[in-house]
Amino acid sequence: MSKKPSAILQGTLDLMVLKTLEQLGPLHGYGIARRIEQVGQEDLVVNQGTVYLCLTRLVQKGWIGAEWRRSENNRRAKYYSLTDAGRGQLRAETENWERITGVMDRVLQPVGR
Amino acid sequence: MATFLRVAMARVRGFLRPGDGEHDFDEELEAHLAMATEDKIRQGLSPREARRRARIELGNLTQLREAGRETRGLPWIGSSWLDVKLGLRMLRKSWGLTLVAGLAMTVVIGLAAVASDVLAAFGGTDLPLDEGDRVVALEIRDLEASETLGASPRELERWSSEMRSLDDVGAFRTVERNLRRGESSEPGRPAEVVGVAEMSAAGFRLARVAPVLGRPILPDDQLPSADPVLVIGQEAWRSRFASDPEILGRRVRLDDTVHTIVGVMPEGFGFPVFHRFWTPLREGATSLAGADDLLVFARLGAGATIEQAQAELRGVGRVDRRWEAADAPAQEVALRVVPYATAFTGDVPPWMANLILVSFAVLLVPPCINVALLVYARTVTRQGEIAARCALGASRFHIVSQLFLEILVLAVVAGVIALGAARLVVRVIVADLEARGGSIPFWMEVGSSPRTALLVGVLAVVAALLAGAVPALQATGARMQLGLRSLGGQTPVRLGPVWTSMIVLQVACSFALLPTSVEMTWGTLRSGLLGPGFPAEEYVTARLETGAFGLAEGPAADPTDGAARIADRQAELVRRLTAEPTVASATLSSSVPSEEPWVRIETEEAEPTGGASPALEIGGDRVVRVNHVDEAFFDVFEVPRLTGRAFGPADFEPGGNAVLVNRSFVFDVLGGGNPLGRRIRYRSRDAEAAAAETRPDRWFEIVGVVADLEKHAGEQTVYHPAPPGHTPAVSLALRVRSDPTAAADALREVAWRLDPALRVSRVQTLDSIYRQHAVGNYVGAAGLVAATLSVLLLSAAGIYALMSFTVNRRRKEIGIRAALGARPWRLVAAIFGRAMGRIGLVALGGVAVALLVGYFVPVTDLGGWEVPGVIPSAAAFIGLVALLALLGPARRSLRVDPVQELREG
Repeated sequence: MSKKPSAILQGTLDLMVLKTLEQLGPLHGYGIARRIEQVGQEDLVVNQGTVYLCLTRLVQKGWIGAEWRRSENNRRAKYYSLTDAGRGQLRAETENWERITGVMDRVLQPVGR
Repeated sequence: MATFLRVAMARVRGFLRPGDGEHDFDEELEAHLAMATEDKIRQGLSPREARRRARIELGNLTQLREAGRETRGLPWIGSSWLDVKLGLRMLRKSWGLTLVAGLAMTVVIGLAAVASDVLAAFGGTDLPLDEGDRVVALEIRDLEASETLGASPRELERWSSEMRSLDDVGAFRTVERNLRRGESSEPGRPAEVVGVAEMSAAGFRLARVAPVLGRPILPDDQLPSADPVLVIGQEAWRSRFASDPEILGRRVRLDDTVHTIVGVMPEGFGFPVFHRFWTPLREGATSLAGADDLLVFARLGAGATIEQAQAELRGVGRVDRRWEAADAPAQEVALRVVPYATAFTGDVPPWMANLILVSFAVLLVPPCINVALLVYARTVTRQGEIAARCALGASRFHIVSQLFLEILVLAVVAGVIALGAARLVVRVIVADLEARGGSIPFWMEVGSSPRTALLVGVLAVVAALLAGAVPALQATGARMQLGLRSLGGQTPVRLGPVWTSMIVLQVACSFALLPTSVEMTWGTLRSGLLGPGFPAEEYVTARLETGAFGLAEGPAADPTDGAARIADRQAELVRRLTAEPTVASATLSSSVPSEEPWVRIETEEAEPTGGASPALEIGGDRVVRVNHVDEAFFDVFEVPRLTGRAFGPADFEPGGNAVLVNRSFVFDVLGGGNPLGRRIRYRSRDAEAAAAETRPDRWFEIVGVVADLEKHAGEQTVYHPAPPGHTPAVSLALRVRSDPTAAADALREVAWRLDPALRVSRVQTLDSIYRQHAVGNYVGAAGLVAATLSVLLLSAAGIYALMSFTVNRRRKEIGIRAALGARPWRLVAAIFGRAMGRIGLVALGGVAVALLVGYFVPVTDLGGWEVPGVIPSAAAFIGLVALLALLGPARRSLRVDPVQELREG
């Protein structure tokens, strides 16, 4: 049976973007999209364009900041970085995610193990 | 919350400056594509292929940009704006619906706006003064006649000294005076009649408004021995004295008394009502007519409530009237303390005002149902379009919103027009009031009530909900499936029984209401259009008030002496005027014809035929016009006597009880019977009635009948004989020989030479008075015509909708009949016969209702005029309108292509 890639869960893209920026520091949209693809390997399908919509939302919420800079290839690109509010939000979201996945793990565990 | 606010702010910024975000977003996507392409080239792809793959991975750019726009801005506003634009396009396309629905909504919302403006003006009780809500009026209310009586100086004195819960108790009366700017009483100096408030010094204390110059009236000014002083308003200072900085101490004449100006009150100050001139109310002074005419005002004392003041006033009581002590029956009166403005505008409780406004929302329902019907009909015919939009992903909510917005746009436009029309009507009313020498009280704001704008907005939304959303919900509900089928070219939709019944009801209403409406409109317009029926332009009228002659200014004055001198002045003036070459004849009456007051009377019924009982039978109350006229009146106006006798010299003696009535009185009040010897008496017992000897205990006998002076007005009038000097204020009418202006100049000159204290005001031709009245009537008639027209148009539109549905539903049948060779007129008869038959039945029902309305509600009682044959004419007219509405669908039915219909079948 072939393994079909999962569609991304609603709301989880925000968490992925925040985590990526925490791990890699300031990064442009293409970099963020590539990083999420790499991490997801073949298990996750991300439409790269939706990353930009997610970035717009996060900037509006004040969780990330944005500024235009020169990239390593001397190309003008918009770099995003985590703000303090974003760091706090990431912590809260991570805890929430771990709690949910813990619950899901317990629910999905085979009985008797 | 902070995050929500940040997002909201960012979105508002994005909405206001969409270009910035869009440019940024595009540049970012371009950078993304460039970086992705470079990566792929490095992986060995050709530049073209690399670019292609990069674009695929990024996604659909157009959709992405659209989603970006929605994320950055306020997309629902943008889409609503699109809906509004679409709504405007649809309204232009369905111009018939727009016209009919717009007119109906404008009429109802306009009426509501006028009502709201008037209520806002009359309903406010807070005066724009310091603690204005604590200013009160002390009223003497005649409970039987539901009238407010004036207070006497002795009552003022008693209340002022004994009421503990009130401060600054004072009173005023309004008098007219000839104002001359200078001490000289020589002829040639221009005089102007002005309204003066004779007011207690307490009025200025109560108002707590400081003069801009000088001082207000002080208690010492009220002493009988004090020098006469005058306080003027800033407007009068500017317009009459060119803002003279030396105004204080300047001496002016009010009638024959020299007054010294001692103060100027600031702009806008109009206490007690709309006054710009104030003189002291002398202690114990009675009015010249001997009537008690003071209005008492006060401020609630510290901590006192209006209820406490009311209780205290009842305890203190009032002073007996002079004429009450005679043989008059005792009056049942109540003493009331009311908010000051209420004494002038009447007591309109807030719940009643709100009820009136809510009733307009209810009034909006019938036209909205009609509009809803049309919208429904149109929505059903747009099933194909709606179904296509649903198929493309539009939700039902979105489609209903779209249809709601379409009607909301229309309702808002109707509301704006209605608001403008309401402002215009209110302005006309105010202009009319000012033309009659009146003004608006200082606390009233006319024409700019925010509540009215809010009401219009709410009514527009209600109208859009009723007429737009409801039919849209219905049309997009169960019928959506039919609509989907209609995509395939089928239109099997039909008008449900509810909607059909509504059309039928609407048509019935038209048949029932149109005759009454025509009679009401004709009654309103008739006198204006046909004119008075005599050469009104040859008459100059004026208000003539005889000055005080220094009499009746103190308690010791002898009113009999004053009355004799007034009579002498009036008679002499008439004598001198008739000697003028420009004047043919002159007459005195208490009112100008057509401006006589309406007074409630009751008639003594004729004895029952054959009955021997002499017992009185009192007929119902009627309201009629009353005038007191001199001997020359009917000759000057060339009013012929129809029956009975004219006034004889004995009738002019005190105690006479003869009256004349006009033709309309005989027909409308007495039912056309023999009027001679019949008796009438008055139901009104106010101060004016007492002074005019029309007290309720007196019976008057009809001794003759004259023709209607104004031939087309049909107003019932009673004429009393009144010798010169009957009242100090009378109307003078001159029949001029040639130029009315020369006669008017002669009038002023003769009056001035006779006595500088004779006040001549409102000099104008009778014709101009009639024209002023006609303007008001035209406004009323325009409203009536608009309402009738909208009902008629709605009916026609309803019939049109019904017939259009019939044609659509029976296309196949029409095709078969046409294919079998049916003649066109037979085809039309077959298709519409049943529906028209039903409408015909309904029309008969409507006509029956019209007959019943005509029988039970005499239109003449409501100001209408009976028009012979109005019911069949109106029915024929509506029938014609219905036939015209039928033309379009009939033509369409004849154009049905049999081949096409049979092929589709």
